[in-house]
Amino acid sequence: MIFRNTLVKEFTDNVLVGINRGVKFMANSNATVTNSTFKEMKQNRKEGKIYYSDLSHLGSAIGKQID
Amino acid sequence: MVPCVNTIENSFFYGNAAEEEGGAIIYNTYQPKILNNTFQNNTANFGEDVASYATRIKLVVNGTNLVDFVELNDVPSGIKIDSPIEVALVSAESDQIMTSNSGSTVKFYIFEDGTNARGQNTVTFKNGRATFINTIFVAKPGAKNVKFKISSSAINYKVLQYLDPVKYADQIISVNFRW
Repeated sequence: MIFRNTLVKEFTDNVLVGINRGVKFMANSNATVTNSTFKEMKQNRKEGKIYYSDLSHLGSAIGKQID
Repeated sequence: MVPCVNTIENSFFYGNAAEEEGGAIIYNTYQPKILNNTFQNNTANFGEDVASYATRIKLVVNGTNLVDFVELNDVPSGIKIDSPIEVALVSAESDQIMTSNSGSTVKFYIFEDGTNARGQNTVTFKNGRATFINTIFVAKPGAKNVKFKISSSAINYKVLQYLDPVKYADQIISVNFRW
């Protein structure tokens, strides 16, 4: 299963290595990441100062969507 | 918005990189519980491990110490302040200065009748810091506990008020004027 840039509610016992972007928490959910490894992931996009429109594209391993 | 409790625990973040913000994790609304994780060698321009959003303006003392900005003392009325007022924009991650923020402004606002904040009442953040130098506060000489409001264009007050209206109430500064 590919988790690249994937919306998750529960993310447990997974290992992500060397991909561009990781997981995003689903909006309006009580999401959980547990016992997982995030290694050498990259987020290369420059988002400037767009703070509340699309933060899901920031953060290389876990990004939180607007609720 | 629906209140969320997100949890990140017992996980390992190693060698992750973001060009701008949040080498490993970033969030923009509800602060997640980040428990028993290990962070190593993560990099970002702001928030090597965890980044969030601007929430408060703090006073910078002696160039390095961040304190809650609640009071100014021995302020002259009607003339330029004689000591610079350095402030920092901090994030939801306690005293993490928003070093990625340049260009946003911070401003003193009048809060009571018969007072004024003029001259340089607005300054611009550079790497999360800004300094008022030529600000002129006006009230009756010797007046105590005169209220001014300080706010920043970098802070989304609408969101903060929704999240915690007490914790993120307007920042009101008490100014004590000299005779």
